[in-house]
Amino acid sequence: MQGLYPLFTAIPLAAAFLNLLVTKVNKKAADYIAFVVAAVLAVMAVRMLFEAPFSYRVGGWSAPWGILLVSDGMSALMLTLINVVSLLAIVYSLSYMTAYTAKPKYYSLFLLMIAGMNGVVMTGDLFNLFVFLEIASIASYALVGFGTEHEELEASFKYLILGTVASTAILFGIAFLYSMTGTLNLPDMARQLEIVGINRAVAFVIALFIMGFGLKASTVPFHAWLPDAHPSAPAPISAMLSGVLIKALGVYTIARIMFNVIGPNGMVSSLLMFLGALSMVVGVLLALGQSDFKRMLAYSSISQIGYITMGFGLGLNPAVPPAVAALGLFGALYHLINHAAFKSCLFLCSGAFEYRTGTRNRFEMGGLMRRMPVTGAACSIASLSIAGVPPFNGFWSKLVIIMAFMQAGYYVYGSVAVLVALMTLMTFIKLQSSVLFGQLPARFAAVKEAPVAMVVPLVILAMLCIGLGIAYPLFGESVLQAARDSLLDKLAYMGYIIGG
Amino acid sequence: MHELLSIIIVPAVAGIVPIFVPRRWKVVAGVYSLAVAAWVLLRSVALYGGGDAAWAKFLFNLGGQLPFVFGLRLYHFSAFVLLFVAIFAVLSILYSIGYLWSKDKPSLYYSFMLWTISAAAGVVLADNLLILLIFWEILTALLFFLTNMGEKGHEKSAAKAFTVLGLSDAAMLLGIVLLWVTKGTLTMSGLSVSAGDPFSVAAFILLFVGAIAKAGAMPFHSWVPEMAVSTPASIMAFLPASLDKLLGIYFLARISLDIFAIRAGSGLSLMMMIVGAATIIFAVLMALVQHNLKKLLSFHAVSQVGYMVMGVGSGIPIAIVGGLFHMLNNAIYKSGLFLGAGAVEKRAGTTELDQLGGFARLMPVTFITMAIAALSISGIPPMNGFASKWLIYQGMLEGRHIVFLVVAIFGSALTLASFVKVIHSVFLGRRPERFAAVKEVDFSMQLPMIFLAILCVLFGIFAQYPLERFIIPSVSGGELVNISMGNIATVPTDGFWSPGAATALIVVGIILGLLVYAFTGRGAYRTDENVWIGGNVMDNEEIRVPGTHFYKTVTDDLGPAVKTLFADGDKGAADGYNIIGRMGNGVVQLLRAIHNGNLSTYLAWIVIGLGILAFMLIFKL
Repeated sequence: MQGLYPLFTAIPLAAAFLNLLVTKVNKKAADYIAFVVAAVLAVMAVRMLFEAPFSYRVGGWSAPWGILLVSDGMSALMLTLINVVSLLAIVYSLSYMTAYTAKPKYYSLFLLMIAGMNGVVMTGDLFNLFVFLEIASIASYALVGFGTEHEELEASFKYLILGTVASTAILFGIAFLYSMTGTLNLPDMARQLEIVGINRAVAFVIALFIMGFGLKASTVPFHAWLPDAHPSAPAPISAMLSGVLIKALGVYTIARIMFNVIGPNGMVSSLLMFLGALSMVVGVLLALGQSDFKRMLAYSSISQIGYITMGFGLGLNPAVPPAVAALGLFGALYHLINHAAFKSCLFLCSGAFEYRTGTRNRFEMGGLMRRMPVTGAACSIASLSIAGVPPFNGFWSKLVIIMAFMQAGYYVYGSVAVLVALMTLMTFIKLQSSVLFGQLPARFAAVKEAPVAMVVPLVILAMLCIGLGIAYPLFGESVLQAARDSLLDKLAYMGYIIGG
Repeated sequence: MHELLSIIIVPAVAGIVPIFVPRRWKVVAGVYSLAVAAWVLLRSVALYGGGDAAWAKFLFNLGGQLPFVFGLRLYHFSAFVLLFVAIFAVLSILYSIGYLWSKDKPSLYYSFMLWTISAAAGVVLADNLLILLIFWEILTALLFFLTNMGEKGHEKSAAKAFTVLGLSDAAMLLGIVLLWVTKGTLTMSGLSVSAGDPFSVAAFILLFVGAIAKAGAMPFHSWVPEMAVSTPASIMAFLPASLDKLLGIYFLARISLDIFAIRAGSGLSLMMMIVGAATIIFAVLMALVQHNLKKLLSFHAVSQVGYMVMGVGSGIPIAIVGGLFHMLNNAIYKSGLFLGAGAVEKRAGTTELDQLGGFARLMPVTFITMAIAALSISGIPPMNGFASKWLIYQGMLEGRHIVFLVVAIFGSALTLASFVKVIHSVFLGRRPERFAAVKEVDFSMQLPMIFLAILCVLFGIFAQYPLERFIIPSVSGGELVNISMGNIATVPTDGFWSPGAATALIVVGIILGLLVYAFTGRGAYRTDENVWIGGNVMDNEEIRVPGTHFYKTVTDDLGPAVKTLFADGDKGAADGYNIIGRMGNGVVQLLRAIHNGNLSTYLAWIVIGLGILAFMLIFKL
């Protein structure tokens, strides 16, 4: 697999452009190309989980001149997440996107987005990371506005402006770091920063990065684009944005840079924990008050990302015992994959309901469990998962996070986590009550179950929600702990500069 | 598979089958589920006779650090609760087959029933607080789905039940995590905490909230009356009326007597007794003025929990025994009452008391079983309800808690008052013509009611037997020994009332009454005349006077203050669910107003946010 590593970006990048050419001749080909590419990538990504860590020098140029790709536990975890969810979203799109015109362009943008996200989580070069981040971001701006209605374009425009502000801040930060360390190679930069220390310039870079990457991850107060952008996108894209994109571009990058390049730091830790808790509370309160199905989900994403950010914050805390910090980080990583499973599932469900009923207003729906039992069951399972009801996955990751904060002596943060879990439960009780149960409006009496291509991804994601909860021993001790250790071991990361 | 594990796993796996049974064949799913429940019952009986057992398996270290041990433990107390869980499961499923016959419900109903059995067994057998919590929350979620199979308005009541119970589950989680952090273990048989420091007190109160919310005591009761009307009676009888009581009070006893060893006379004990007393009196007052049979019963389901909380919380051995016995008795008569209400509902199509009347002749079995259960709940000797209340009264006397004693007895009197109304409005009184053709329900539905009514009588007359067989060994043999009054095995049994002589007198009295009635005939007491108003003979059908009108005195004639109080209580003014909902909504609307969709506002947030971050990092690092 080592030699094939660059293919994770090369394949989707090539397919994105090839797709546009081929579909000039045969319009049908777009479905097949997208599906085959996504399937190949998903299989490759899952195989990456079993690879030992290595680094890859692109074109044989050794660091710090050439570009370095790094594969460790964290990258493998993110690659799996991105490519598996992408595959499911593309399968879903086969039916769902027939309602839109210009399907080939949609797939090309989708593949570009995959290429960008894969690049971000693979690369060991800061500027390269920025380039991939922009590829993924720009593709997502276009996808959010894909419906080209008034509302979608407005959301896309807002997302574009705010996203660009973030990108500028990130680029600014990269330039600062380059001027101080003379390198863009992340492992090398980690070494140089050991010498430079955390001076005021580095502190300013950290502020820029928390703001820039925090905006990509939609941390409060940098979250304002998300509640407009995520609901406006087509459902599979909403699932990708909430399930994967904010994590690959925002959460992953913060984690990689803060843990592996800058290292544990009390102030950064306090800020991340505070921003995380703030996001959790603000996000869930806003989610409670929404009538739009997808908007509710979008706000709840802000809240759930807060859990992850808060867990990372604890992991970065040098003042607590290392075991407790590691537990916080572990909980955050566990919640990260769980959130990908249930939030993608919920967005795809919202799409299925919208596809059949033509509305996203949950007060106009009702009693749909009877008419769409499979979609309804998947929606119910995912709702219970995000609400933290055992034995589904969300319960376990929230439990670990709460436990870590209590052990660390942060009783207030721990209690906030419990309280937000309760409010999340209330949000999703409301959602289920208004959409799945209650009286079926007369005009939906003839509603049918969603098409097979849309139902299959839902069922797989719902089963993942169960599996990630009860089959913990299968992946917890290998995959998640490998990812955690790769983030905690800064020395090992510095070692990647030698290249493999 | 270990015998303890199998009792959890088998119904859980068996519950998958009914999902695939089509709606119109739900009877098949019902019979299948009955067989599974019967198997569970047989196993529980065997386990009950088999002595103590324990099983533990280390599963994994969550996050590499938090040991997760699947520990199960069977001892006398859990074996006895498990036995009754199984009995109620069999009865409810048997009843459901007939009850759901003509209703449009999916076979999934039986899946949820079986999973409920599995989760309840898990709660009872768990020897690890985390395991207990997991099964506890699964039960909450299952209740949500079962409630959602109800009639019109079900989604609101299901949402409320899940929210209130979710709140209590969150409290429990917090309490358990606090214990975990401070004590380092969650194994229940190895945990002993003296509730002295603030952490332990906080942990206890949090766990207490979980226990009483499940049992349905105030102030976490409001989900029970809310769901009563729309939820099928079979579910009301199984979950809120019996299972949730058994489990809630089981957990309450475990934490207050076993893990925390709350002493009689301590502040926490007083707190629990106040909660109990308030629950008894306020819930019964609300019950008194209800117009719907199921809703009325549900308020009693709340009120009766007060006795148990008061008894168990007092820390006085005889009252603890009484509280636990009352838990058992209440489950018996309350599910009997709900099953009866379901029978009436099935035949009459309504449970509105104003519209019912004269069903005694039409549904004699339902009438007699419900009458027995009503006497039991009102604490009339020699029924079982009296036997357990008597022990609680004794305990209150022993502890010199005269106020609580008065409240308990007064609550019992009001219970009687409201059941006089029930029996009169449903079974006696004048029968509306449209019910002339009503028949008794099927035997499969009668059987559970008869069985429960017989238990009501037997556990009353031969109260010594269940006490010695189930209750006293539970509290003396195993864990619950370290209470202040010494070993509970030395409960002064002379405090128990001996029902023999009293029963004989009562039976003689009834026979005498019957003789008088037989010789004088009905006509001597009652004649039917049409009402004559202003020269017109009125149709009796039009001017029926329902039994509920008599009770309007309580709401209307005790002064305007009482009237508003009841009216507000009915609207849920004091319901924390509504209050918190309104407050929360204010915050939500404020936040929504800030998110005005204006790009420059959002940009300003980002700039200000960056400024604060930069300031903190550059100058405070």
